[in-house]
Amino acid sequence: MSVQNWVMQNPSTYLQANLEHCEFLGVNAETLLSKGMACIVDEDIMATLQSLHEEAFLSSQKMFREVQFSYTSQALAVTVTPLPDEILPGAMLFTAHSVPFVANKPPQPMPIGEDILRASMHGMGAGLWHWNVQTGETLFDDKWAEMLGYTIEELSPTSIRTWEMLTHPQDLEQAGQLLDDHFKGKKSQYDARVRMKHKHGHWVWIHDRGRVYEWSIDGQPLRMAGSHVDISERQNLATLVQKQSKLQGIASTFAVELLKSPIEELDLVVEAGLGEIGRFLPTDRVYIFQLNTLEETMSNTHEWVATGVSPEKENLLNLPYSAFPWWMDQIQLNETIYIPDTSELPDEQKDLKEILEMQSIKSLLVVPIEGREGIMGFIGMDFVTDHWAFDKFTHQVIKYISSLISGSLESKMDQMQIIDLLAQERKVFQRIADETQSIIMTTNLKHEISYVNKAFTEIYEYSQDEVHRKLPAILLRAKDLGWPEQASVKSKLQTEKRWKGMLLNLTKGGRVVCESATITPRYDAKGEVTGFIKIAEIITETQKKYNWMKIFSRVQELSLTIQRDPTLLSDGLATLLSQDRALLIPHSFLVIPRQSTNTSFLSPLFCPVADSSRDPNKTLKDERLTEKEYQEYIKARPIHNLRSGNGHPLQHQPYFHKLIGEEPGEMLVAPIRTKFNSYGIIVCLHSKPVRYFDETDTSNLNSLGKLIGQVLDELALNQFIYTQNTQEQISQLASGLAHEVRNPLAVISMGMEVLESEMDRSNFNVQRATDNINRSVSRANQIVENLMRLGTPQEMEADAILLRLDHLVNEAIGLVTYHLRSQKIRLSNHCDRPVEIRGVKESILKVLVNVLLNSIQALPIGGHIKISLHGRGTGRLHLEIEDNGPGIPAEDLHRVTKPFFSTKKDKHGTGMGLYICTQTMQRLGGLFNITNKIPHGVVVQIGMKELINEAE
Amino acid sequence: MCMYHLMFVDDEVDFLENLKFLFEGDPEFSISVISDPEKALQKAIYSKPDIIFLDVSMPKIDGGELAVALRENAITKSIPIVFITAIVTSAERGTYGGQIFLPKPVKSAEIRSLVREILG
Repeated sequence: MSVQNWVMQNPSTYLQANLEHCEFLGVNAETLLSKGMACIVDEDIMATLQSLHEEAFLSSQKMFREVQFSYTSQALAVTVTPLPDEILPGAMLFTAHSVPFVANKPPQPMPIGEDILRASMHGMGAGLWHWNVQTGETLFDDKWAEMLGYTIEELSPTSIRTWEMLTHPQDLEQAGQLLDDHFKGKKSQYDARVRMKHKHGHWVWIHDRGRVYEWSIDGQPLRMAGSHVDISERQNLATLVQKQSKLQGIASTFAVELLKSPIEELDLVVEAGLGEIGRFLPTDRVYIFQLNTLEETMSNTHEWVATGVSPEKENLLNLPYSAFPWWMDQIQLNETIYIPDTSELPDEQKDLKEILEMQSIKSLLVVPIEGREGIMGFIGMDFVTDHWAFDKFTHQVIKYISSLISGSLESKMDQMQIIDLLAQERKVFQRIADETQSIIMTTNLKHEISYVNKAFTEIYEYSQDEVHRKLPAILLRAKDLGWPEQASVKSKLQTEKRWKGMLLNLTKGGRVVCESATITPRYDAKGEVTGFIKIAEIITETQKKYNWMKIFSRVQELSLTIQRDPTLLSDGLATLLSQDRALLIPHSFLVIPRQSTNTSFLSPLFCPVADSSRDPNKTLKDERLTEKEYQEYIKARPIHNLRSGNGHPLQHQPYFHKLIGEEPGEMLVAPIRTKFNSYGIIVCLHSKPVRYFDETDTSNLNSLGKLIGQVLDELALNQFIYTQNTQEQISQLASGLAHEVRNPLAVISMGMEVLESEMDRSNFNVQRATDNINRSVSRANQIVENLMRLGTPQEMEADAILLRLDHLVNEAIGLVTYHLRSQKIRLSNHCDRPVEIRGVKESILKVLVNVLLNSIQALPIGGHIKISLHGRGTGRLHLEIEDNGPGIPAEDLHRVTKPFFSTKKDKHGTGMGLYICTQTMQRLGGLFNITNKIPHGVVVQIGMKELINEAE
Repeated sequence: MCMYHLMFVDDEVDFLENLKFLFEGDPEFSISVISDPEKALQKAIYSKPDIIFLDVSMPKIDGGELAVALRENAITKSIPIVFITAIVTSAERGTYGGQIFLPKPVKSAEIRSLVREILG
C-alpha cells in the first residue's frame, strides 16, 4: 500500500508532496509545486481535492475523511493535520492511503478467482460478469446492470438467460458463434459487440469480452469471466461518420453527373441530384429558385418531392421579390436561411409564416446560389413531416452543391445563348463570343482551327494567329498525358458529327486545363457540314475540388478502420491515397514517416503509387530520406518544379528519382504533424513535363497532412489508453507483491545476517549455502522491484548521461559470457568503433542483456549471434542483434513485447523482459523492434539517437 | 562513544526479532522494538528514542498516521523519523516531502550508517 503525503499553505498552494501523491495526481513534483492544483489534469481528482482542502482550511483542526473519485473508482482515506504555528503557520499536512472504493454494495459478492486484473477493470468503467458454463449460473455486478438502466436487484436472480433476454436477437447469433470459436480454441478470447436493451427501451452498444479460465480435463469450458463496456457513444459516432461519408459521396456523384451531362439533359440531371439528396436527408421537398434580376422576380425551376408531398413548381413562377422582403434580403446577402421551427417565426414575418404554414412546412433550409455576377438563385429544402436539426456538415455539403449548380446553370445559359446567336449575324456573334467566359473554337472539316474567341486566347495564352490552321491535338499536346477519352474524339466526330465530354489540354506555358466541351457541326446556307464548333467550360478547379473531396471523405473511413484495428494503418493509408487517376494526370502520393519517430507500429516507408503504369507494390525499403533532406522538404512548402530545377536546394532529388524510377516532374510536399511531434511528410508528385499543381492543391495537401495527423493522434491516444490500463494493472499487482513478498524477504535477509555472525565461516559448504541464499533474496527482490518500477513510469530523460554505446555492448557481452560459453554460442560483435549516445546506463544495459539472453535461450548448442551497428554518423543509430535460431512463431510476433507474455513458461520466464525493453527504449525516445529473419532467426533492432560532436 | 537509542515499529514480529539479535550487545546502538503501532506513541513519549523507524503498511494505525501523531506531540515532535518499508524500491531510497524512506529488505549496516548520518 502506498502512502501519500503533502503539505498545503492554502487550499491551492503546495509546499511539499511526496512521490506517491504526485503519481496519484499524474503530475511531476516540480510542476505541482510551482503551478499548484491548476496543473492537475483529472477534473474529478482536482474538484474532490479542492473541496477537501477548503474544508480542512475552514475547520483548521485535525480531521479524517474518506474521499471517493467516482470516475476512476478510487478512494482515499485522508488525514488532515494543521501544522503547529512555530513550524509553518496556517499550513496543513495531508496523509492519505487508498482504501477500497464502495459504490453501492453489490448484493452478491463477486467470486474472486486468480484474476488479478479484475480490480483495475472496475477502474476502466467495465461491468463484470462471471459465468458457470455448465450450470448456466451467471453473476453480474451492479455496474453491468447500471449500464442497462437497472439495479442488480431488479435483474436478480441472474443467469445466462438474463443476458440472452436482453441481447438483440440479431447479435445473439453472432455472439454465440464467437463464443463457440473461443470454446473450440479458435480464438484466444471471446470478443463481441452486441446491442442490449436498456430499461427505457432503446438499444445500448456493449463491448462484451471474456475468457474461459477453467477448463475440464477433456477440454470443456467450465468457468468464464469477462467484462462489459458501454461503447454506444463511439458506435453512434461511427454511424454519424458513415452518414457524412455517404452524403459526400452523393455530392461527388452529383458533381460528376453535372459535368458529364449534355445541356439538353441538364435539368433532368439536376432534378435527379436533388432527389438523391432529398431521399438521403430525408426531406420532403428540394428545390431551386432562379432569380430574374431585371424584373425582380423569382421562379421555381427545379424540384423534387417525396411521395405523398404535392409538387409546387408550377405554382411558384415569377414571384415578385417584394412579397418576401426579409427573405430576399438574406438571399441577396448570400446568407443561409435556416428556420428550425416555422411556428416560432416572429410576428414581423407573419406573411412568410403564413405562406410556409400554408404548405405545412415545419423546418426549412435555404442556401443562396452565387454566380459570376452575384446571387442567381437559391437551393432549398422543406421538412413537412418532421422538424429537422441543422448540422454544420450538411450545411457545407449543400453549399458545395450550390456552387456546383451555379457553375452548371451558368454554363448552360452561356451555351444556349451562344447557340442561339450562331444563327444571327456574324458580327453580333463575334461580340457576344468575346464576352462570354466559355471557350469557343471553330474548325474546318479537317479539324484545322479557324477561329478562337477571347476567352480561349486568355486561358491558353496563344494568340489567334498562333493557332490558325493548326490541329488542336498538336497544339495542345493533350495526347502526352495519356488521357484516354480524347483519343476517340476525331473518329467520333466523323461518324456521329458531335462529341460531348471532358478534354484535357495544355496551355502554351504547359499548364494543365480541363474542359467540359460540346462539339457540334457547323452548317452552311445549303445545310452542308462545313466544320465544327466547340463550346467549352473550364472545369479544372471543380474537377480538382471533387477529387480532393473524394480523398478527404476517405480519411474518415481510414479513421474508422484503424479504430477497429490499429495495425491496418498502413493499408488504410494505401487505400486512401491510391486511386486511379485521382487527380487529372497520373501522379503518386507518398507518405514518408520520419525515422526518428517512435511510432513503431508503422513500417518505415510505404508508397502507394497511383499511376497504373507502375508496379503498385513497388516500395524501396532500402532507400531512406535523410533527416537533412526531410528538414528541407518541410521547410520548402511550395511546389517544386524539378524540370526547371534552377537553384532548388533539392535539385537532383535522388531519393524520389530512385523511388519512382524517373525524374519527378512536379512535387508538392506537406508535413504530417501530430500534436506532439512531426510524424513525416506527404508528397504528391507526377512525372509529366507539365504544370499542374496550383495553390488549391497545396492547401488541400496541407489539409490532408493535418487530417492524417489527427488520425494518428487518435490512434496514439488509443494506444496510450491501452498502455495506461496495463500500467495501472501492473502497479496494482506490484504494490500487492511488494508488501507480500518483500516483507518476508526482509526477515530472511536479516535472519541471514544473524546466522552469518554466529556460524562457522571456515566451513566451505556453509559459506556457499549462505551466499546462495543471499543471492536468491536479492534476485527475488530485484524481480519485485522491476515490476514496481514498471508501475511508475517517471525515470529516464532527466537521468540520461553521455554513454559510449560500444562500451555498453562490450559490458553486456561480458555479463552473458557464462551463458555463451555453456551453450557454445559464437558471438560476432561488429559494434566496436567509438559511438556516443545519451541514456541511462543501467536501463540500456538491461535491454542489451535481456535481448542477448533471449537469443541464447532460443538458440541450439553452437548457434550464432551477430551484433552490428548501422547509421553511425547520421544521428540515427540502429543496433541490430540477430541470431540464427528458430525465430518467433508468426502468431506470437506481435505479442512478445506485451506484458506477461512468455514463450518459455517452462523455463520460468516472467514474460516481462521484452515489455520492459520496449518501454525503456520508448522512454528514451528510441525504438525497439523485433522481427523474424529470412530464412530463420530473429532480428532485434534498437534505435537510438546518436550524439554527434558539434565541432565535426 | 555515545549510545544511540533506536526504536522500531513494525507489525512483522519476525523482522523485529531478527533486528534484536543483530543489535544485541552492540556498544553503539541500543534498540527497542514495538509490534503494536497503537502503543508506539506512548512508548516513544516514555523512552524518548534518538530516532524512530516506522513501517508504513500496518494494521490499525499505519506509519503515516503514526508519524503525524508523533509530530504533534511536544515531546516526540523533534525525533527524526525514518520509514522503513517494502513499498519503495531501492532506487527510490531517499527523502520525499521531508520524509526519509529506507526500502525493505535492508541490511543492518545500512541502518547503522543512516543513523550515523542523521544523528552524527
